[in-house]
Amino acid sequence: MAISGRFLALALAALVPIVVLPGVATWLAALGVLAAVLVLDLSLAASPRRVALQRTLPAGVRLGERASAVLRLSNESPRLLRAQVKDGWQPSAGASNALQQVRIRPGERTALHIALLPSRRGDLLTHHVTVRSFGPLGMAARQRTIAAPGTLRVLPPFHSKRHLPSKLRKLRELDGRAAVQIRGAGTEFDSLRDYVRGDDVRSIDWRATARRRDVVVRTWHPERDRRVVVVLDTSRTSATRIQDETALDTGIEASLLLAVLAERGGDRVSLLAYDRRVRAKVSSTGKGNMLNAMVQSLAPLEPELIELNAPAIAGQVRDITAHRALVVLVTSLDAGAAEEGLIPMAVQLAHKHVVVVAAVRDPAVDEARMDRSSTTSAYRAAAAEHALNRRAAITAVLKQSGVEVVDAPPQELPPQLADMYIRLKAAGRL
Amino acid sequence: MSAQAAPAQEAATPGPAAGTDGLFRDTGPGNRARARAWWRRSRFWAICAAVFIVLSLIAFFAAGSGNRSSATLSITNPAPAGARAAAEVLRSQGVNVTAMDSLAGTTAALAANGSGSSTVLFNDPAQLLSTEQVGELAAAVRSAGGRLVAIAPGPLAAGALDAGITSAGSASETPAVQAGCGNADAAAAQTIDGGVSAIAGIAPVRTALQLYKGAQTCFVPDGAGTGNSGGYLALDTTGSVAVLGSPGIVINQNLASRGNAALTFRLLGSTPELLWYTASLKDVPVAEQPPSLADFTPQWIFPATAWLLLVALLGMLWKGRRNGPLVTEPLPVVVKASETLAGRARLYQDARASGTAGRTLQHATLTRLAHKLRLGHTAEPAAVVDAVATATGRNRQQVNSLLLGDAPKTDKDMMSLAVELAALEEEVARR
Repeated sequence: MAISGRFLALALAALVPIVVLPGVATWLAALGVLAAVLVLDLSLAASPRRVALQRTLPAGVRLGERASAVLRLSNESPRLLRAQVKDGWQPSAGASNALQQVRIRPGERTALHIALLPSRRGDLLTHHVTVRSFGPLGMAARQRTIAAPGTLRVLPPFHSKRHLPSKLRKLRELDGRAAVQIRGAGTEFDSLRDYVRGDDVRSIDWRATARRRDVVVRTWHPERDRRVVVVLDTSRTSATRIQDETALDTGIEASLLLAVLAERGGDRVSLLAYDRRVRAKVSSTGKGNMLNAMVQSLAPLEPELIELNAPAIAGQVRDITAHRALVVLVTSLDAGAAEEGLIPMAVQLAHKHVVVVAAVRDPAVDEARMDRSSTTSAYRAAAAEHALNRRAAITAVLKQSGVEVVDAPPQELPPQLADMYIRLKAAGRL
Repeated sequence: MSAQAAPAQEAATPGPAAGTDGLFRDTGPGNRARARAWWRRSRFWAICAAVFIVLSLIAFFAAGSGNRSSATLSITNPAPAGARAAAEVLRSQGVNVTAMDSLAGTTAALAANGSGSSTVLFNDPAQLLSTEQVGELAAAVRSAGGRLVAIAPGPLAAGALDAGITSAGSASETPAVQAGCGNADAAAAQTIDGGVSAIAGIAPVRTALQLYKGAQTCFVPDGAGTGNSGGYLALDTTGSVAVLGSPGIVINQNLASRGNAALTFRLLGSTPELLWYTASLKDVPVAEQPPSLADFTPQWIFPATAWLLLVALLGMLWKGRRNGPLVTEPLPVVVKASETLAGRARLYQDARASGTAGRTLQHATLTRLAHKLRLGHTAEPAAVVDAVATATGRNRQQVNSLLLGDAPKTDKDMMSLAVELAALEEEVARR
């Protein structure tokens, strides 16, 4: 049950007769009128229990984009339904008009459009819809909460998508298929074609030229169908917030860019989110919907407050591919966690695979390093130098073992990781 | 638009899962089932509340028992100081005892009861009545042919009751006192006294002890001498006006003692009607009462205020009723990355570890300079110093002490070292 502001106004208006004719009788009469109005309105209200609901939710919405959830209500009671309908979205779904007024004639239905602006990645939930059905006087209402669960999957924003065109162009230049006449930088023989002006004379295939009596050049293309395995660390170190986002979010951005790039580059991409167990696992099937499958599986990932089970990662990679692959470990280079888990694991993987460690670097540390304006900031600078020193030491150990390291601030990590991939591909190290 | 064709029976499926047509319906329990669930959940506290209310009501009625009074000499007061015992005994003997609290009511009752059928007990402990009013009472009793028994009236009131009766001071204690006069009632009682407390351990109730003289003066205490001294009971010549100086003989505590009961019942029980008149504020003329707050406020203030309270309650209900249950937001854990950095800096500062901090700064600058001057990671520190001295044109000794010198001892030294190292790096970078 609920009352409306109108009922309160009626109660206030009853003050007039009480002041004009003071007395117990007036008071009780006013009370009686209020009670009568309440009972009458409640008994004439349409039953909120006889409302059927139907949800239509978008399959997925990218973080930062608007979405509209449709809620259809059908009035199955024989009375006109005048109601306030509240859809119980969790706050981060950003439902700006979750509470709406409806007026549905008996047996008819209506659709409510609820505007959503999610402020968090992941699965956002609504559990119920509350119908507050007012009587014809609009004084009192019957209220009922109907369980109607719905899930809106908010996908990673993939801001690093804007780097994709430039990186793809680089990849195409590598491929020798670019508009610009650059010698294909790959290592595998592709085809023979007629020489055109501007081709590198070093790529002229003299034997074919002799056969054809025309100048023929060889073209190359980078090796294809290699395996790229992205291992995304979702353990406790991914919960750190660097600038505006967590390390995990940055890792997801970098993984997505790399995966799309590698997919276009003709390689087969697998993605594994792991801490002590597999949180997400996607492999490209060659059907072209890799990106969608990836964002769908990465969307609900949250940093887990547990230590990374580093020794098990080698086994997980072996499960994905038995062959040589490019293994990209998106993790952190923080001292302690890295020394115990990351370094032995990366070194072990590097025996068989090409290993790249991608880590987010905190720009705040670099800023603190140079700030020497006061004693406190000088100590802070010393602490920053200490942290950078440890990080440099870990990087050096990794590089000595043949592991590539990409250590960049959040905005820079995705393009730098993409560059690393292109470089490795150009060098034929995949 | 037609209604959904879905059959209503689908609502019987358990759980919030949508039916095959994707429709959600209210599958929860009905109002009765919800009430039952509420009862099951909060049964204990509901029963506790009910027991508390019942016990409170019982205690209230047991203590108040309707119209019980705690005033001295009240006929509804069963305490030692009350006079319920006397009233009950008189009632059982067929005397109609009526409590009165106003002079007007008493005179009206006197007139209504008829001639010679009433006794008035006049008790005015606070002396609220003026002598005119007392005279009026005495005249009314006289005209009705009744009997007046005044309990310890003031000197002026005593005079107003009957011209022959005067106050003769007070006594301090009530040992047993012989009647010592010719009045039949007093003679029948023989001896009266102050009695003792019926309950061991509780101090006996003391009442006023006044002495009066009249046409007949009885119960003259021994210590007061003889002749013109007053007694506890004074009567006029006809015995229709009696002044009792010791109310103590009527109260519950003392009634059973010696001849107290005899005197009481003979004085009060001689007529079928007894008007037990206790003077109250109603007898005070209206003009003498100070005006109360109610005289200045309009009549509607109280009902309007009460109504506004009710409206405020309604307002709370209006705004306080939520549209459905609370929705939870699962919050993931997020830690600021530079927390460890800030923590280490604080530790350095709190421990005054200027030496450690200085060494760290020197080492970091040395490494960076080596990198910048293309000397490689494995360059000897001395070689770096040489290269820096060459590059900047600074004194080698000075560069050496800056980069490889002793660790600073104080915060101030550390601070200046940090600034100088930064300046050196900048200088090399600018080159």
